[in-house]
Amino acid sequence: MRRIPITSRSIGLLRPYTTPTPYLCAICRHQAPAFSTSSLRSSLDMTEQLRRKVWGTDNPPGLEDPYGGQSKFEKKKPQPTPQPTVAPRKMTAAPQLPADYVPSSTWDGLESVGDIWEPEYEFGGFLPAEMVTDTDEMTAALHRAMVEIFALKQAGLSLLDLPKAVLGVDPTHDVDIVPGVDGTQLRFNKDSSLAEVLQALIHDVSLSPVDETAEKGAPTEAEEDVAADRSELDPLHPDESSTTIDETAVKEWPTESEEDVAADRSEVDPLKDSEAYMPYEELIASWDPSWLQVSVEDPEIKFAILKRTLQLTGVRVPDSAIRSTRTAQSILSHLVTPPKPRKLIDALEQKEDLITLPNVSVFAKRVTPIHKEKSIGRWKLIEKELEARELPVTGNW
Amino acid sequence: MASKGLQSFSRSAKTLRAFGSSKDPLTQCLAPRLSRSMATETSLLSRLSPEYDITSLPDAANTEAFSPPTVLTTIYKFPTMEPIRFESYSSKHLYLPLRRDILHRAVVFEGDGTRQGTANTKTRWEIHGSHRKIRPQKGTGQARLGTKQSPMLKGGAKVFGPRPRDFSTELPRKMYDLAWRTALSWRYRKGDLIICEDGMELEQAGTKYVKSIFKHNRWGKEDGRSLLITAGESENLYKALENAGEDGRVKMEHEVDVKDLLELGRIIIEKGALDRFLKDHQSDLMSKVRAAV
Repeated sequence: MRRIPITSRSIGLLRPYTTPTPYLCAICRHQAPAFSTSSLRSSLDMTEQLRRKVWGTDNPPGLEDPYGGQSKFEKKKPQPTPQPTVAPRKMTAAPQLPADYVPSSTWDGLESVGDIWEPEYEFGGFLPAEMVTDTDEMTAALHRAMVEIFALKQAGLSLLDLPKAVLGVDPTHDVDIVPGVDGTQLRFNKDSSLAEVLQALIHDVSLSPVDETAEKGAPTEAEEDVAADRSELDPLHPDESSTTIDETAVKEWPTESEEDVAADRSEVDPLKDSEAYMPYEELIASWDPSWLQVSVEDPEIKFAILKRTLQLTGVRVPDSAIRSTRTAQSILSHLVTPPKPRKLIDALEQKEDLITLPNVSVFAKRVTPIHKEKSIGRWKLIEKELEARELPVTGNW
Repeated sequence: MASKGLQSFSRSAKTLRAFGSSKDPLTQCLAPRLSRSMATETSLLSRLSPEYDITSLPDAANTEAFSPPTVLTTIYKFPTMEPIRFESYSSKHLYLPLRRDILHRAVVFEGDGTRQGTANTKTRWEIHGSHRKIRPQKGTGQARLGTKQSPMLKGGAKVFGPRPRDFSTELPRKMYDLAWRTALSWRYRKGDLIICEDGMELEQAGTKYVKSIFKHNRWGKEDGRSLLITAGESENLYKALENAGEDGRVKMEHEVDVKDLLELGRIIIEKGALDRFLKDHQSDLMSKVRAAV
């Protein structure tokens, strides 16, 4: 049987006083009795009440405390220690702010207290932070790597002396790689030289922050080599092949060394800046296309090229493809092949003909009624109404 | 009639001779055109022109492309992933064709072997209590009942319930070893087998540190997670990856099985651990008979 709430009983109307009650929650208001039928608990203690009843008056005769004073136990009770008086706080005026005070709107530059935020780790890996995805950029990177490796080989330096960081401008833009019978040659056009390419590499090597001790020997050696190179180039004699320079390359040397010297003396590269902004398509078109047929069969060269390419682009040629890559073209084909998409949505988004259909839309996740409501802007209203009715806001998100 | 038949026979014989010994149709048909095992991925057929050219028969060099004696791998330095050198492995170790059936059998075999098999229920003889007859056989108007351990009563026994047992199945050792190398080969062919130098370890143990490494090398959650396999105990690495499970997992070599090799996005393995795997799982390559000393 349902119980009649106390508040609505008719006897409640007899409530003698209507005090403005403070806030009560719904449940308390419901359960708290509006009045009590039990007698009011008087503030007098039992003895006093009895005395009044016995004497029949409100002022019974006799001492209030016939035994005098406090009881033993009362006396034993620890006296409440007097509270130290606190001087009332005085109102003070706020300190005058300087006239040029501007409250900051961000936390930059403010004094920080505590050490909640751990610093973000800057991991200096071998791979670049951003992976190259553009085909032309990738082609240019491969070309650069090959020029640098073949330049190192021509200079007789170790192919593993690659810089740990990719720095500076690329001086290999104006170099052609020419496949030859006796080996691959570099053809330096008017704005480039072997020394310049090597210098850029060695500059990077000496600047590389990682592993200082391991490389200490290499730069000096390389610098000596460069110095040796220059000393050979200066006399303008065609028969300088004390370093490992192939005989076929000898013909091209004198003119280039002349240019080298001129470039070295001027110390300014007139076209370097303009080349830096040359779009990659033009750059690639300016090279002799036969560079793609250059053989990279030598495992040492192949390793060095793949390593440098990985450093420049961040794209890893799979190990299973290493053996079958025999030319620059095959390396490039592996580089530019995008990896298989890991998710179906990525694969579908690459299909132009499917995406462009007017009546087809592709979603990454299942489309639920909530998504449909959201798309027409009704979901917030529904959510608010559900909450107002204290209903659970559930559904498939 | 008979002369006509003889004529046609001699004509056909002449044609046969005209083809000559160089292009003998019989040998041409029966000769093995491609020397590759059946289950490898074929890329050659698309390249072959519709009319079969005898000159494109695989020579020694082409055959090597399908099953080279050795395959190359790159060895990396661990956290920086700088390539250090090439290393070659036998193609019977890392270049096997994909055999899904063998992998499936190996995974099922491992799954069976790892089942605990401890589920247990009590029979009516094991349940505690008196075997007194609950009520008289006749006269109560109710069903006949014997003991209270009867399976049809609440609190009674379970009929044919689970008993502790060994679920493990058997798989020929050679097949399991082949599955191991097939799984590694599949990873290798996909380019998901990254071999590092021995002693994979971090400078410091920190979840954020290891997460930044994973992000930089593109190994993390977005790239399908990674399994790291170490030969020894790399304390910092294990501690760091403890709370970075969404990005990857690290296991010692003795904890790894075929299923683990197939599970995550890529395998990053110490060279020592890989060599150990290959050494332990080559029973089908080794001859059983030992040479007499």
